[in-house]
Amino acid sequence: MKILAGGENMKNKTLIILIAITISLLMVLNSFAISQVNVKVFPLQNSNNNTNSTFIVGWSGTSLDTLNPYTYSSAISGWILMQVYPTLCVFGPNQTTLHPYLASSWQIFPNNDTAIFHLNPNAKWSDGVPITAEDVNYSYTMAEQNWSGESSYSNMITSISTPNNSTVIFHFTGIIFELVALVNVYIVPYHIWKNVNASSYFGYNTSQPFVSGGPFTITKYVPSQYIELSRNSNFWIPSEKPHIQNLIFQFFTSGSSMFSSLEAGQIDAAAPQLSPSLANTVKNDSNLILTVSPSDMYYYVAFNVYPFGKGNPTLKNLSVREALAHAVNLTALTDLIWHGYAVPIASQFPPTQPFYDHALQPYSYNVSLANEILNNSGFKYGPNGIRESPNGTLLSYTLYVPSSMSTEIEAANILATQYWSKIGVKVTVEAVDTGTLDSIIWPNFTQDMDLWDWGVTLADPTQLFIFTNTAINESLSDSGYMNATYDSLYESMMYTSSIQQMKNISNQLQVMLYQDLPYLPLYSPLSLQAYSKKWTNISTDYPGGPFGGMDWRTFITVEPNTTSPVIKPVNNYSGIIAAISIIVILILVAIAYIFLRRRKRDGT
Amino acid sequence: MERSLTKYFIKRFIFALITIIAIISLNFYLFRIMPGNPIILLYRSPELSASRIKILTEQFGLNKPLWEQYFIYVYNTLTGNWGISFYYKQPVFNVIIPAMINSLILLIPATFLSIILGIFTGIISAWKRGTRIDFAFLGTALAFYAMPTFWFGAILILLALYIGGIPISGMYTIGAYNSNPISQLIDLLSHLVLPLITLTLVYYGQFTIIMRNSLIDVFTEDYIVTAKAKGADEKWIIKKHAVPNAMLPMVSIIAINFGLVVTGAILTETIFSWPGVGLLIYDSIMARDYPVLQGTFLIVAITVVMANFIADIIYARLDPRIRYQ
Amino acid sequence: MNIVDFWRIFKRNKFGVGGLIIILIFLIMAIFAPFISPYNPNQTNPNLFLSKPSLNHPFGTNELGEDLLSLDIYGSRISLIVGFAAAAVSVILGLLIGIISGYMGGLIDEVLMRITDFFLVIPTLVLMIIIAAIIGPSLINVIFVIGLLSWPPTARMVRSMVLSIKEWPFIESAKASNAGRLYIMFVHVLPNVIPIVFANATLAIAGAIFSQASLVFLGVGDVTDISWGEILHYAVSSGALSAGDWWYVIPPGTFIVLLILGFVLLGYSFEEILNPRLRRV
Repeated sequence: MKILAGGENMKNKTLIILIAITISLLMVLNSFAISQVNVKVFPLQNSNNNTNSTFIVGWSGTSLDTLNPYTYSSAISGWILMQVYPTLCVFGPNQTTLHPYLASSWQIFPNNDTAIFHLNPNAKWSDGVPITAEDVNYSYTMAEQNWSGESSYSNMITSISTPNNSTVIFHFTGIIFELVALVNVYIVPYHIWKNVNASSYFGYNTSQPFVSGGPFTITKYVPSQYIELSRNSNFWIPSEKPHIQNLIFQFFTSGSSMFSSLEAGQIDAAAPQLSPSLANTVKNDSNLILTVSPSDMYYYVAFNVYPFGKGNPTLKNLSVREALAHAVNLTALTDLIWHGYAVPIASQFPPTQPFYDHALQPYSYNVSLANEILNNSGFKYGPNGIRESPNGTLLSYTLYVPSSMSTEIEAANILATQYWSKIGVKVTVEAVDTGTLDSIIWPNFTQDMDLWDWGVTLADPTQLFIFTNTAINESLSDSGYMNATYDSLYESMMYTSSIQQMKNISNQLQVMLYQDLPYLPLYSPLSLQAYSKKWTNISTDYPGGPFGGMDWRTFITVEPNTTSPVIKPVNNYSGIIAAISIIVILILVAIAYIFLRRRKRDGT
Repeated sequence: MERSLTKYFIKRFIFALITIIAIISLNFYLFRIMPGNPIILLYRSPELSASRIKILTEQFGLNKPLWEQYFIYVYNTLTGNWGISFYYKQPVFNVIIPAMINSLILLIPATFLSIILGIFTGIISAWKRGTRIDFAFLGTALAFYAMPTFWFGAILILLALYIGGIPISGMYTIGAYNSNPISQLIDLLSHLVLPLITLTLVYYGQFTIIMRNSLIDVFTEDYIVTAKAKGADEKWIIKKHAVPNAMLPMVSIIAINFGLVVTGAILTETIFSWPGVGLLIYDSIMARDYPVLQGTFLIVAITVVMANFIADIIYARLDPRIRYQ
Repeated sequence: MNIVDFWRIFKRNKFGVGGLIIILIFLIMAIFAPFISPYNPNQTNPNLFLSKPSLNHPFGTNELGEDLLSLDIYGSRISLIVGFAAAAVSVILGLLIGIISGYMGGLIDEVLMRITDFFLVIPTLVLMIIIAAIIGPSLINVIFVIGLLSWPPTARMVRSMVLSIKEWPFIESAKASNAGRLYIMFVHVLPNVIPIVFANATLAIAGAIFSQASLVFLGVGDVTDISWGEILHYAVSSGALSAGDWWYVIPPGTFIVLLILGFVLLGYSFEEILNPRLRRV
């Protein structure tokens, strides 16, 4: 090798060193990133041994925030908590039959506002400590704290007493207790929680094994990436021990990348909801099964009827709202947006919810009636083709839609251009993010209309709370509906002691809302999910679907499909790809090196 | 000469410091004036009571007057307490650092590759200037430069779906996992392929252009023309004189483009679901997670300021003319 | 050099002419969109959603059954409008700040340049997302935001030009005859700077088109008007990308690339022409 001028030699050595550093940095960074993941030898999921299989669920909703049953807000947290903590009872798919869980039997005395629960004597935590009435007492007491998000599920309880370790007696103010207090309050281990600050505890202390009371226990959590659960071998209901060994929830930032992972066979199921345009793709994929299940949410348009609101005052006129309702062909709209996977609705629940008043039908699609109503109420066409009130206020509104709801933005556009423009009403659609929308609506109610959604809990009529006066101050009511009769009727529903009476009252409330139209309910989309044919024994009759976060049976019953049909193998070329990319990188580096080397040779 | 370098150094350092302070302040106000109350955002549900909102507001310190919050923020930032994420309920560092690492795994090789590719194509283009080769290389570079990052990524995804077997999202596979670091590395690399190709191809174009233009600039310098007239080989000219001089503007462009690289990262990370800082920023904006936003913004801005500062110093060291401005 | 000379040289620049042709094609597409689109882009058809390309719909249909070819044609309008408008805002700002900074010098120069550097350093897409969240995502706001964050490169370049123009003899004589500073800046300096700014302006347009598409794609821009970025946004959110529907994804992106490329080629050719050293030797 020629003796090179000092400077040139240095530059080349530098280049080589830089490359070496980069590659080693890559490897170090890589091991940093992955070292957070517990390096266990995971058995592959396609092994046929029942007790050793891993099920991976992809989740594209908001990711897990906390594992504290009293302060969580994301749906995935609730779903995971359901796997690891028991409730007193659970609902069957009809949202009416209560099944035993922690409570093996009970008696409810509605006229005495009392209920007695007998706990399953076999119940124990995963560390061997029995689950007792003390845990129940503690859990419900925590639920009722004013910092807890579960307080509305337990604030009808006036007292709890525990005469012995396996009996709990509740006193309550209304039979609403039976509907919401038994299935929504998770029981946590008092012997663990007494040592923590319940309001700020994350719920999982990674330095100790997780103490679980349900069919699964938590083994690993990587924030915003995934959480891993495994079978609780000490689960105290032997017939409900899961068939799978490991359950992983992997968080995805977009539904589209989650779906691609499903197609590639990297995950086993896609949750919580697939867009209807993907339904055909799933059906055409021989490796996947589409699940269509009863709905757990609905979409609506809210009109700003707040008496002190700053929106367009013409919306406070009932005739205007009625005309707007009649101008919409709800069936056609539902079909256009949801391609048959949603149902038009007329009230404040999904139609399969027990409290939905089926006597109500959507307003009839009648454009001439709508025009007539507006004409008769004094809203004549103005010079620019938009109707105006007698004192000159235009029927021109802004319709806000959360920007994350792409389908609903399209729906809003259709409402504005295909329906409401035909009756002389001008609607401008604006897509904003939810934070901005919150500040537009509360506390000053500056909006005209907004298109939004509500998820509804099982068998729970308290959805109707959002139309009360109190809900306005709590930033829950986006319509600003104020009706004293409604409020007192709602109160009475909360104190009544018969479920049938609750249903009667809730029907009355729904009729009031139907007539007053603070909301124009739109449609309730069916729950769409998909899972891989490698698995079987998954039911689809539960609201929200098997992977919607409410069906407690899914991960207990799912098992590998041993009679699996021929599944198109997904080639794993990752080794080859990696090798090629390494080679390409090396070639580029070599070229650069040679190029710069030649120059120093010519340089002397 | 040394004294003016030191003076320049100090001047640039002070500017960097001022910028960082300005960023810290901007950080605070920018996110606070975004409409939307994070508490309501986080907990919008029929179960949230007015008293709970009040307690949470106090917990997050959102009820104090704005100026008080500002000073608390500045003090905390400087003493290393960057707060708890509103959304993840974890210390901000625990949220940001893994995301940063993931981003760096993608960005460092991408920047490295695009620079090399740019230099390479720029040199060839300049060397063969005016010919079809020049046209082809330059045209390709410009075409890729004009491509929206997210669209090119989408195309690659379509291709990958068609071919099959190439991971199109995320950083690693979960279920098929073993403790062998080599397999982990291969798994990571296979997930890295598509985002890396996307970022590299979309960025190399500007380096090509700069390299080419600087080289041509240098070619027309008098002393180069003289050397050519004296019969010196053009290849030698390129390598001995042109390239070193052309590296100067490259250095400053690389530093300036640090900010651009973060941007490209947002778009690429979104389409490939790469769990990096870009994606974290986007999600935190939507969730109004102020602590995380402030933390990431600060880190990114400081990194960019530092990069610019270092670039300025290198530039000054290499080109004496700068210091005398 | 005057216009005639410029045109003479420009005609021979292959890049420039190519870019100009591309831009003209899209201008025609935008202006005559209602006449060349086979359908009204907002015409929905629930029976024909996400259909493959066919004789009736050469680019297929989207998830609402709207014709994608018509949507892509109409999309050119917003891209061009935002491109020109945002670039105009950014160039005007850049000119103003560059001239004032370069000519006034001193403390004003220092402060303005530090502010410019500051904006160069901040990741602008992030700022755009945040500001769009604050002021709302309407078209005007998007133009405003993009323009407001893109002026630094122009300002810097204008300033260096002004620094050398300041020393020109006729400026000296204008100062000697007691002309006011504002007068000199805008009557003498400005016309000499404008030709240089052309190259920057065309690149600014390219950048604005890209930024608008990115913002809309991320969902923070105006998702209700038809634009190519919006079409791509829905391509992803409707699941078309996951389903492998390439006809939904490829055309809008290709149009973006071509239009941006047109402006980049044009800008590059301006740079070549105005920097004599770069002209093909």
